[in-house]
Amino acid sequence: MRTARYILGRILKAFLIVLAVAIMNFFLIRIAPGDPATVIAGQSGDADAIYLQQLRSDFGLDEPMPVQLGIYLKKLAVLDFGMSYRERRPVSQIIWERLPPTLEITASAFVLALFAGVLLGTVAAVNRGGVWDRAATAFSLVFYATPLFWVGLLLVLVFSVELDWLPAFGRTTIAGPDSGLPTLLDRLKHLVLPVLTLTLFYLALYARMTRASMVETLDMDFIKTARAKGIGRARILFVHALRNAVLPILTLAGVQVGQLLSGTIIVETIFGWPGLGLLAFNAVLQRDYNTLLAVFFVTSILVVLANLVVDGLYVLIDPRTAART
Amino acid sequence: MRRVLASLPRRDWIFVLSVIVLVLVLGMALSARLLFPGGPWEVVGPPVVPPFTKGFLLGTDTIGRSVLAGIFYGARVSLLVGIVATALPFLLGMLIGAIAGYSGGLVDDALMRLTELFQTVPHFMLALVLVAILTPSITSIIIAISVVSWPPVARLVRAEFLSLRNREFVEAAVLAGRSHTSIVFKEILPNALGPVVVMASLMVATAILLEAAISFIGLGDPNLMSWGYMVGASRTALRTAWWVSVVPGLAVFLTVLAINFVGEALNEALNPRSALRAYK
Repeated sequence: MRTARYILGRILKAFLIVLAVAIMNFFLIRIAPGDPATVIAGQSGDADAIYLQQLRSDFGLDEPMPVQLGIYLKKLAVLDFGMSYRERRPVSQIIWERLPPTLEITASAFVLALFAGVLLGTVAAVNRGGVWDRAATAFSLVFYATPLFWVGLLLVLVFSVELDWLPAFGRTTIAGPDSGLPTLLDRLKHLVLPVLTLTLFYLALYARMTRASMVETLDMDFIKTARAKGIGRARILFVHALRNAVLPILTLAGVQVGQLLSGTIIVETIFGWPGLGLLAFNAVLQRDYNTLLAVFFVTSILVVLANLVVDGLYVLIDPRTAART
Repeated sequence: MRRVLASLPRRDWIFVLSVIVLVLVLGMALSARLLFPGGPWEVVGPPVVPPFTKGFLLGTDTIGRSVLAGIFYGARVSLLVGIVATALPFLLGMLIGAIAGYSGGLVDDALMRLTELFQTVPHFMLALVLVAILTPSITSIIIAISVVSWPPVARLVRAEFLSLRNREFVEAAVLAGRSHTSIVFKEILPNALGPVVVMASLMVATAILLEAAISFIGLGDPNLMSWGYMVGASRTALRTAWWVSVVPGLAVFLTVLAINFVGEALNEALNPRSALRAYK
């Protein structure tokens, strides 16, 4: 019962955040220079008068502000972001096309970074002050300070330009194999560099966090008790300690999903990966605010959803969570 | 202040090296006009001259501009953004955090929900939207970075205020009939500063990285040479002129790394017991 109420509360909160982002979007359009109609049309200046007039009545732009907001929210509720002037079709349609490639690289990078980061951080915490610890710390510090775009370009320089091992552009080879195992391999090869670029930064973050959290947990009394009871080292580490140490990491991971999605703008731009990030980049170049804001809205929803998942996991790992709030 | 300086690790070579890097960056920023009076956009030689050629220490880019001049002028932008886009969100976050933590109740609730909202949305995405909408310039970049980076400061300051608000020395000040402003600024704030200052050093690094990424995407100030812009503008020529992308990226990397190391040393000097904890 308590858990159900906790989860419901979280869902309500998630909904309120999405609503707030929608309202934020509404006001962002209005601080853009020029008539909101030209902003919504994308391509400021190029849109013709009849189209602008239609937008004005569609979005009720001649009505008072609260009415405008109501109309806008109603449209966002059914994910109607208007038309892309550039591509001459609904923005939502483009977003649906671009979503899977972005989820592909962010999910891969997220899972990889989390596993490798937790492993690295644990190894560092166990060998506190040792060679492994210092190596892990150095690794984290270095990648924490490296601009994402620089990592990406260096990887391209080494693995594509110099060694010619991996493709540096796109999601598949144009006119490449079109079925079976060769296609899969081709897709995987294209995934490596963008995913690695995204992974390295977050890996550094999670490793740092895990180390700090593990060091603290390993000093706690229940670990000493477990040791005194003669429980095996690996079991203490991965079952007893990690379960407690993982909570702050999970929180961080949830918070960082937004930054991971932001990172796709850089990574997809470098690797020509046809996802939301590249869509945002092109929207920036073309001053297509409408598409840009749609991408912002959709990625914010993804972050909120990810945080809901984290909240759920929290209750699973530590049932006391629901009781505390 | 003197005590903090004294406890900094003067013998730690990484710390010393970091300070040297930062002094060098500052030196480059200050001497750019003097050493390269023609500015960073001036064509000074043939295009695509590789580094370490006589007269072109770091080579030239695809249209013959000096990469070294770009690095010097880029230092100005990075430092400016690093300092201003830290100071602004720092003050804003302190103000919001102090009001929330000191007043509590509904005001606290409302401000914290606002903070959460800004922490949830993808930062870089929001910054890009803001710069694009406000039209790219150094001012809009600083505003955008400020808008996305105040929430952690607000949360930290609020937490400090909540824990300090009920201490005896604050109660004594209340009983003495001091005003709210006097209590906040003279009693609580000085005691809450330690962890917040450490956070500021990390914010400088983040601000520099954000500016570089914004300029890389092509939304930098069109009148100012920045490291991120250099990398972004030359990335398509990676095969023929790799150094034009690699060198400015290295400059960002070293600067940010140095700031992080100095920040960590500050952390250990100011909050010896909670080393690394303020990182969240």
